[in-house]
Amino acid sequence: MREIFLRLRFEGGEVGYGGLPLKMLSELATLERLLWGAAGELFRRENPNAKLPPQNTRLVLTQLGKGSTTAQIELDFTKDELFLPSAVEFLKRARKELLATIEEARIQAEKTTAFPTPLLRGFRRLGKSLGEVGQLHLESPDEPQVALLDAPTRNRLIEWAEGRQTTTSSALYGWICEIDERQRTFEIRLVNGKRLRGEFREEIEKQLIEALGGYHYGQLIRLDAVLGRDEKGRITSVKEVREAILLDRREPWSRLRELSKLPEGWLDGEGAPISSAAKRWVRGFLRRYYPPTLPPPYLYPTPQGGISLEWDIQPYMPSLEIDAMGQLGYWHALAPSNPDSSSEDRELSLNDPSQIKWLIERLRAYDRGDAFV
Amino acid sequence: MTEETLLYRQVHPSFLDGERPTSQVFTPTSKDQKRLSVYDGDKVSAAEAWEHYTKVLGHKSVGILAVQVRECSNLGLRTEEDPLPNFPAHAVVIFPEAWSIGKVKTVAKSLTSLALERGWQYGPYFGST
Repeated sequence: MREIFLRLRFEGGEVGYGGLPLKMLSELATLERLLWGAAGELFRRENPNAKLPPQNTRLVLTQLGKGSTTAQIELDFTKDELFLPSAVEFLKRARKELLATIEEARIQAEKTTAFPTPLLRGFRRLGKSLGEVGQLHLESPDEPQVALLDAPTRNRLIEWAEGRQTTTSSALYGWICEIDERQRTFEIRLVNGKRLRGEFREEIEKQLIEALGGYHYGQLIRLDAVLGRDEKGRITSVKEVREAILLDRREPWSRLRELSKLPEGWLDGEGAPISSAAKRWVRGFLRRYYPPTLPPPYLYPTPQGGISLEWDIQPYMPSLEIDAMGQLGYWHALAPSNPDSSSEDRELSLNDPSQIKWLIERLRAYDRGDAFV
Repeated sequence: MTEETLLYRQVHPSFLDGERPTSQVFTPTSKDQKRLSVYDGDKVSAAEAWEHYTKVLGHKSVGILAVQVRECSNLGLRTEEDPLPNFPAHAVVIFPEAWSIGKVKTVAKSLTSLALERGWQYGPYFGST
């Protein structure tokens, strides 16, 4: 069986001039996912232990009207009394809730509908082609019920989805783990393990692709971006990426593995193998304490079986030499142009968190260039 | 040796992380007893020094960095010719006994910085001995 499910009318902007941009078709596919997602969720709320039976039901685009500015979506389904409650019923409820939600967003009311809020994330894609001036009218033939989607409405729907209270401009550090070149979206895995999606402009595509290519080598990237944050200040979304900077490609883990293989007498007959304690300390330091905003240290073996961490923060050349017991560290830094007046050294207890904190703060100061101010 | 003489220092492969050498290249080890072994640049070329070090002495080196005698003396270091039977171009850069670890590190980093500014005299050849 088939019945009209939704009528769409496009107005203004890119979509209003005698043709439907093809990219709008993918946005309409998002609309379908959104409706199915909502139908499933509404069903689960009433039937916690069951799954919405699909019943060979599908939404199909059946008509493009004059000038392609109107479209019709029909519901194609098999009537089968065995399956109750039906997917058709819940799809219709999802439609009703969706249209009501769009209207609430348009008149800037509070969201009161039963439409699942997280699914409104779909509006990051749906309606994107409308741009700033286009409009999409949605009409349900049953009620009748109408809704109007435009740029401000869409933005509000996205805000609801993200529970966003504020946006901030911040730097994000992480690894690019996915890029969709067609949709111009990417996924970044932050250093705390959280994953975020965002859209990108053509200007930064090259950097993102390079970062993706280096994902398995630990290629870190910094994104200067406008971020959505929830009321607790947690990052919920990447709104806009203004700049992407590939950071130092080196990652210390493979170097640490390489150093682990050094045999007794590695330094032309001299040189103890790197001790497990020193390796353990360096590993823990890098994993637990080391800020990704600082350049990764260069790692070298010491003839005594320890590890020397060195930084190319010019002109200071800071270093930390870890003893073979992994308990004492010797911190040293200088300004090579004036070694007498601008150097510091200190012995650190490596198991004392306050001294680790001091070390990190010093590194930050050197990195900022105000270590001796 | 003159003030302008270059003193060649071999760089062990493990003392390179990527292309960056550690300042330990110019730090005497406990075995050195504060006397850093170098090749006298007046007696051999950098290539000859590398050939000798890796082929005759059988040690490992990815390349050679160099500092001048004058640069050493400016940092408070003495330099001496110290020919050995199988190593006639051998010379030493002598770190004062009284220097603290910190002072030794400061000077070693300064030497590394000067040497890197001068550039590699030979190599670096990654994967070589």
